[in-house]
Amino acid sequence: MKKVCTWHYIISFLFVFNLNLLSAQSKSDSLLIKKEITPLTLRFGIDLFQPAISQFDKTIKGFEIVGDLRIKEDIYISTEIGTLERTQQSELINFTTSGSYIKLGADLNMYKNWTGMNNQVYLGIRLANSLYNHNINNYFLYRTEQLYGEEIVESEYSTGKISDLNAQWIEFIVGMKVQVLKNTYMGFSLRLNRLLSNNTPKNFGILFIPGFNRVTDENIFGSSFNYTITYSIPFRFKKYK
Amino acid sequence: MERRLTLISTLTILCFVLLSKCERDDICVEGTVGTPNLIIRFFDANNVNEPKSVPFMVINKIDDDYRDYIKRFLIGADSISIPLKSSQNFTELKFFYNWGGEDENIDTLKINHDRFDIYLNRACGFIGQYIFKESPIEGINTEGSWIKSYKIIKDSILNEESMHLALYH
Repeated sequence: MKKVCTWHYIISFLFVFNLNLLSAQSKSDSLLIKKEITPLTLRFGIDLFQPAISQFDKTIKGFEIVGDLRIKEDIYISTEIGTLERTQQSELINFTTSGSYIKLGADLNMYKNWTGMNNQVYLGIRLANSLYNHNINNYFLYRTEQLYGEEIVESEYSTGKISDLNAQWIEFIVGMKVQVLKNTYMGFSLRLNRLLSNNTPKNFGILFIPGFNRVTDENIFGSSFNYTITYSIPFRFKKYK
Repeated sequence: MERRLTLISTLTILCFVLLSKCERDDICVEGTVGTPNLIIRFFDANNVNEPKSVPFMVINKIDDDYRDYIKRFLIGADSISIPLKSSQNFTELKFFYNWGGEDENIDTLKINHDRFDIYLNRACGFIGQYIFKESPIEGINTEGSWIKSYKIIKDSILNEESMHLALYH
């Protein structure tokens, strides 16, 4: 008799739970379900990709802090702040770009979580600003006739630092964040960037912007991604809906 | 359902744009004018308006062997074009008059120049624009030299449309 009672209890519990789930999915009247309390949650963390790649590639040195604040059931205010120093060889020019960037915007969670879960598949938008410098390390002159072999220009002429560059752009993001441990999330995001404004150096182009990445000559679009680990701190006060 | 649709369509658009981002500016377009060469014409020292061809002229770098050449003109030439060095502010060249002949004569010219480099684009990088320095040519009219004098026609080498330097012999 006792056993039957236990089973009855379990089954009825499951039933109620299932009903809850179903009604949550079908967006039905919320009379049945007591809405989950949404705590204001602050999350912060770092990008794992930049530090990882700098272990293998000595030309890249980057660091990015990410953070978001949950303000509504599925809306987050998000930011990324980072620095990047990268040396690269363009076709004929070897240059180093160093600078920092800040991105600020919002994420909209598209994923319907089960009660108690906090996973995200989100769409996001950011406005970003970067302040950076270029340093032209060396280059070859473009010639149609080479008689003296490859002559590298390593000092004077157009080599040297070009400072006080800035750029602003907008980012469209698709990403996901998955809870892996209590309060710990792993995330991944793909970003499409569109350049809004920038200043152009006097006798050089914009080939790379920290945070925006590679800039092509006849295209204002760029792309980037990040791979993050974040830790969330739930605020003490709670917001009732 | 709506959300899923929005999400999937956004992802599709994003992927499409990322993939279709073309990178054609990685190749310098053929026909782009590069760093201009120095254009020299040879004239008769006695009749400065009369072009005079140099028989079997060979042009050599300063540390080259006798048999090396960077340019040679078997049947002679009264007009040549040579690139200037980009790693230093002078170009030193040996000019052979009638190479291998009985009246063979070598003149070593040092061309002093400054340069400004102008940025074109990512693929082509920089091109140089040379300017003759105050004492542009050294090594002319030394004892036994075949080049008697020179005249700077244009003091900046911005293109290859016409001659920059006239040499009289």
